[in-house]
Amino acid sequence: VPRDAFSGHVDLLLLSVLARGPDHGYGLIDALRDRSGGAFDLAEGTVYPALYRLERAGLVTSTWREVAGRRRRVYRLTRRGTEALRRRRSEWREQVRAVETVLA
Amino acid sequence: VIEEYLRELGRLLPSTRRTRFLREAESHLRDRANALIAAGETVPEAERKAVESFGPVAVVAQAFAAAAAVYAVRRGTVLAVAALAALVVPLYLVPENTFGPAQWEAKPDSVAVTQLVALAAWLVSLALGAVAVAALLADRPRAAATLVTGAVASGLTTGVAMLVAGAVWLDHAPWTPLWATLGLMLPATAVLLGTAAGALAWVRARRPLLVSD
Repeated sequence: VPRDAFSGHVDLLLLSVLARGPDHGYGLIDALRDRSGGAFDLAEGTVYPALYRLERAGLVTSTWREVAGRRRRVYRLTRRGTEALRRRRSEWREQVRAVETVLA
Repeated sequence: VIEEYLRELGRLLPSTRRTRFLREAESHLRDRANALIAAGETVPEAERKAVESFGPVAVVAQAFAAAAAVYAVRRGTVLAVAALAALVVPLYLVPENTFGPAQWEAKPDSVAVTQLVALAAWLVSLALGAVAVAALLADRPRAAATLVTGAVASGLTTGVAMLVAGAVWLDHAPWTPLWATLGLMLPATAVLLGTAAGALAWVRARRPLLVSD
């Protein structure tokens, strides 16, 4: 998978991982990598600005928490974030269906 | 290696939320390095790999700057509209009723009442705007969003009331001097356009940013 294959979908992927429960940036990145079978290979540092954007758009909230002996910024999906995820997910599925129909 | 990376990142990061980003970056890099050390890497090698997977300093700093800039622009727009709205009513109503062609008591009731409504709505708008700025500074964006929505609604009420007062008054007093007419219509139009632009910028900024760059 090319390195930039996910760059246009980082927000959707992050919301998707956060739908499983609150997590800090490091945990989210590991979860993304695990769930993509190692294909998710963006520069890890660029995930934090994406989280900040999502937070300012009201889709996630974050607070500092003590986790495993270190203070971490823990992110949590908001209700608007859950709605946005549902909408974006169905849009994505429609896109994929349309592209697959053409490719078939 | 990690310290050096963080120093360089701190130098390139925008001032908005610099401390928060640096703390998050440090926490991430230490976690990654510790995981690599636990997997058998030497400390220098683990730190080098942690930094490498975090991404080149310039790329990461640019992504942070782009994310922060969106909100700096939004905040700037809101403050500019608020500043404009804060000036509009005094620019017209205060001189008009102090030195102008008619005092409050000389006007038809409908004009005086509508202008008082405009004044009251303007004061509400200013108060909400001031609390919204305080909420933004306290990093309470959701509270600020609600307050700004209220301030914009109140600002629109001000603009509409000023336009109505102007229309009614011109109908009653066609001899009103040109400066008073322009003094009414221009700021009222500016309030309407400004609040509309502010509302538009606000709505656009609040749309879920689902396609990242």
